[in-house]
Amino acid sequence: MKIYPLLTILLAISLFGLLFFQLFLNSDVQGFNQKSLAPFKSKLLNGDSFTSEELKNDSLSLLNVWATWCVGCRLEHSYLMELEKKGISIIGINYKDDKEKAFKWLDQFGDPYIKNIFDDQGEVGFMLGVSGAPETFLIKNGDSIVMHHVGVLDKEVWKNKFAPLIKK
Amino acid sequence: MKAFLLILLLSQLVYGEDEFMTFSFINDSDEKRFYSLQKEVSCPLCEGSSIAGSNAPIAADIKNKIYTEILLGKSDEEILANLRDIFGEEVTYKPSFENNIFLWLFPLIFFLLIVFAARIFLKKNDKKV
Repeated sequence: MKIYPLLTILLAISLFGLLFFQLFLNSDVQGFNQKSLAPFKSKLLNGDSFTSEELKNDSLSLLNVWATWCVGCRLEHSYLMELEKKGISIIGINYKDDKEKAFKWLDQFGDPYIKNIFDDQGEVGFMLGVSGAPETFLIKNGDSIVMHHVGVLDKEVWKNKFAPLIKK
Repeated sequence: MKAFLLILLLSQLVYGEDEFMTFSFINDSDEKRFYSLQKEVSCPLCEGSSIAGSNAPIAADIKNKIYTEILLGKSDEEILANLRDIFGEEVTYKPSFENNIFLWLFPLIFFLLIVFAARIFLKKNDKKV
């Protein structure tokens, strides 16, 4: 009966094969698994209504979660202004914030956003998997999330996590 | 019954901003599920803590979500799968089977390997004697 040695070798090979397969599968630590963007409706800071359909106007857009209580948002604000000048369309999500404070902030520091979703209850944020602010999503064709960055968005982060996806 | 649930749900929304929220349940088993589920979900913002032990705003949001989904009659697995969809695989402490088949089957494969190896080893030893 030579079946057991054969089986053992086969099992051992498949085991290591699987291990390596998993290893290469997870090699891209910085990577993000693309997710589809669930359609949603919300209101804007200026009182108008907003649907995620509007994101389809751009092949690429940024969704930036911010709030006036968020220190990191103040830090990344100047970089968002730079991105806006480069022609990148940024849609803000004003997260669990106060409307008046938000307007004051935009007056004072500049407004890099095309539109600003007013998410005072954090519902849109929750749906997107936001756990705080700042967070930034890269949306492709208005229906898929190709990057979700938690934390301050700066030049380094842009170069490493966002720019490679935009070139594709 | 449905109207009652709706009222419960709405009352929760009205008081949603309270820092210390009370959750009321129709039966004890739902209440137990609510608290045991909280221990299975990690707080995405605060490392090393479940949402049960966290006062972060996002932890409160997730608790609310679990609460409403229990009232809507969803199963534990449905609730956790939904949270994994939103916050990623790491949000639950127990890895899901679908996305980690290898992880779950590894002990079984390893066990079989040892059994087969042991059989070969023992047979060889028998011949020597």
